[in-house]
Amino acid sequence: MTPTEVVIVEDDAKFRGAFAHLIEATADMDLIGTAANLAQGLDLMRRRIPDVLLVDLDLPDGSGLDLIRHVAARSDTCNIMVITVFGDERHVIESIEAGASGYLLKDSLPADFIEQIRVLHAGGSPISPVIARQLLTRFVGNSAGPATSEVPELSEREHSVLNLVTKGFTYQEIAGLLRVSPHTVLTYVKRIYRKLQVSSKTEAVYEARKLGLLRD
Amino acid sequence: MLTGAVLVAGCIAPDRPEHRITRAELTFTSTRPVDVIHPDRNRRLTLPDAAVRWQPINLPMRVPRQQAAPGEPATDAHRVWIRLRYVAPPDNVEALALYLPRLMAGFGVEDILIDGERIESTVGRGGGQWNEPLLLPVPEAAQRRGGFEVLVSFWNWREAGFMVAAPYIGPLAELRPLAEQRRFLASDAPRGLCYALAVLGLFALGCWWFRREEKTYLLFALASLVWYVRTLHYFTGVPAQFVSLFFWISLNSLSWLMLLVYLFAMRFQQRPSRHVVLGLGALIVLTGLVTSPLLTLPIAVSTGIAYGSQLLVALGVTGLLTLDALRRRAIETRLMVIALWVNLGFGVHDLLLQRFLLDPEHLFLMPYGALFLFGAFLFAVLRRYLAAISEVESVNSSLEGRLADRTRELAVSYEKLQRVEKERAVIEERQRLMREMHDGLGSSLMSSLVMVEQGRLQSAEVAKVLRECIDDLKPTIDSLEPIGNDLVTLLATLRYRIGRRLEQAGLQLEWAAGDLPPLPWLDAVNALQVLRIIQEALTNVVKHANARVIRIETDQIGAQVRVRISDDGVGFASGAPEGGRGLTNMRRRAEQLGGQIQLVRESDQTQVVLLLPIDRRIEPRAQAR
Repeated sequence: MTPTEVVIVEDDAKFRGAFAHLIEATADMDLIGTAANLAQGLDLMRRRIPDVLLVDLDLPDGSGLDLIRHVAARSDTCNIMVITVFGDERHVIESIEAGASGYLLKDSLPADFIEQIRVLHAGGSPISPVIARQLLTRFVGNSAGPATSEVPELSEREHSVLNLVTKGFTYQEIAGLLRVSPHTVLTYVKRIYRKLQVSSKTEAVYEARKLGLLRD
Repeated sequence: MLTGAVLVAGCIAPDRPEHRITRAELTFTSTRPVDVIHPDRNRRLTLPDAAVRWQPINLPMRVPRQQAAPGEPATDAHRVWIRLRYVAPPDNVEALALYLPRLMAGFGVEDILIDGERIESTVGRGGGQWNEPLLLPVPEAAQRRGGFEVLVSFWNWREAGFMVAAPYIGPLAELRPLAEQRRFLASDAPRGLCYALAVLGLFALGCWWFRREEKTYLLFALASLVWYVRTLHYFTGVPAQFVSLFFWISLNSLSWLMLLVYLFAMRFQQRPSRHVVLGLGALIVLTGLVTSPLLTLPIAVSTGIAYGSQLLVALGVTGLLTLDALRRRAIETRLMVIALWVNLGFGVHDLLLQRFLLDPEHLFLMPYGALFLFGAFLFAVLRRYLAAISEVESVNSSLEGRLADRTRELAVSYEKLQRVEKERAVIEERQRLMREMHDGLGSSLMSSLVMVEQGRLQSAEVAKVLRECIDDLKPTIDSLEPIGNDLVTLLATLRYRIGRRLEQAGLQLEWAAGDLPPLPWLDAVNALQVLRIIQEALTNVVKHANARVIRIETDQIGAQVRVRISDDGVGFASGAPEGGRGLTNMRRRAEQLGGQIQLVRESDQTQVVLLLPIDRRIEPRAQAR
């Protein structure tokens, strides 16, 4: 089995070093590059898109969101993880819309850190209850919106998963409650992430059309 | 236009001149006055005997008042006979008719005979044939004879004067349109006008009834009703016993009308002059009394007085209003003055006609004066009405303007309020954060700093303190997240944060969060309080209880929600002093939220129960129950 290729884009040298150290110490992971700012990050991505990209949003020369969009537009396989201090709703939703599929807390215990990367790579990153709640209202809002036909709707199962996440249940528990395997729950979560990206793109297209920026 | 047509019709040369008969003979017979005063329709006519002398005359014939016709006897009352002969054209096969446009005499009693046979009598109809034209078919017997003699007979008295139009004899089909046209102009049109005015008057009366302060409508109503009464006699016969009363009312109505006109016109100018109104009123009432049928003045005297007074009132009102219109130039008054002058002209025309000084084929014009007078009235009322409407509109638009102003003011003050509210929220938030920093994060960091500076703290301990600080910060962040007043989501964030930590500490977490209704009061400040309570409870379990399983349940009990945190540890009773302090803190926080903390120890379970109200506004009442 080939090792998972990882790139870290983080401006804080101590964090960057600590993460790099953790990954290099992991046998099935291969750190293929680190960057301290957006420009270096983009440069790395032009050369090779890894399996997993860890990116901080606050970069000295721009937003990590730009890097996420850049990668999301070029790769379906790269799992993008946002490095954040608190995992607060605004940052996370923005990241997911840009194409990220999970986030890492900077203060995660070392053991958790690698574990979370594995979970992400395997399927989907855990969604916090607040994020799930936001996603629910967002999709409900979309279905009543003007671009209904172009915005994907959540399936009943996906809806149930999100609903249970808002109530604090873990994927394991949700799998039990819905009588499916944990892997299936992860699949639902991944689909939800994908749909959010699509819907945000559709919204952007819709807005652009409204502004007359885009011609069919 | 109609008036123009009337004037033309009144003065133009008669149509169908070939059927017009202008030569006749005249004679008189004496009679008893009683036959004149109480005529009997069925009475046999005594025809003039053969010895009577017939005077040749030309028709139309007019004998003005105070004049005697040639051969008129000196007796007071007598019968007038007019005789004419007609020879039908030899080839005539059509039905013949006699058309008499007008016959006016002192009494309205007329008989018409053909070859000695009476074919028409207006006896007993009251008023007689003074305005409506007569169209009579010639009896077939007379027609067959080819020629016949027509006798027109009526009562009169000396010097009363009379007037007979030239009659027409000819084919009925040709004369009928003439007669009908004249009937329309002399009688039907005035009647229609009269009724229309009466309806308008009733309408105005209704307007006034519901808006008593609008005297204009009342004046309009009264004027049109007076006019109605005044015009009645042009087309209505009156029973004999009411003739004198009817005559009196008609005679006086014109003056009342003028007074009403004056008052009406003055509403568009200024206040009417009290002296003028009193003077006119006195004159009118006096005239009314003098000419009253109870006084039985000679008819010539009473009509003289009535017409004289009427003329005075009419000229006075017209003069006053004319002066006023010239001075003030209100369009309503000017139109009314024009209408008055037109009416005055009509009145003079009618007076001359009534005095037999104009051709009998002239029409009475006064009924058409209403068109002008009430046209002017209506114009005035219409303008007043339109003015009222536009006033309402302008009031509305100014109201709208004021409303818009108020709305703007409201928006401004709302904005101000929002700003104040925002500032207040910011201040509260700052105070909250300060409190948090001071109690938790700040004091932890401060004590750690002191210990590090004194070299008493190992790096592992520093890491522990810092991690605690960050853990302490997280609920603050979580409390600010949008959770939509949902307590379950709030608890879920806590689990999301610390679930792994608990598991790593060897605790198994059983999660049984049931659905709860939204708590309207659960804002960021209160959410943090709730998080702190739960965190405290969990910390106590982790630190002191030695538990293996921890269970979190939520449910709703009546108007409260319940959060139960149970563990299988050693219980709080044996807890360290911190546990006691922690419990006090939890109690204090719960009370601030309007809720309470209960501690339950049963069998091997220790349970911390947090009860919170769903709606804090109705909480006191819910407790009272």
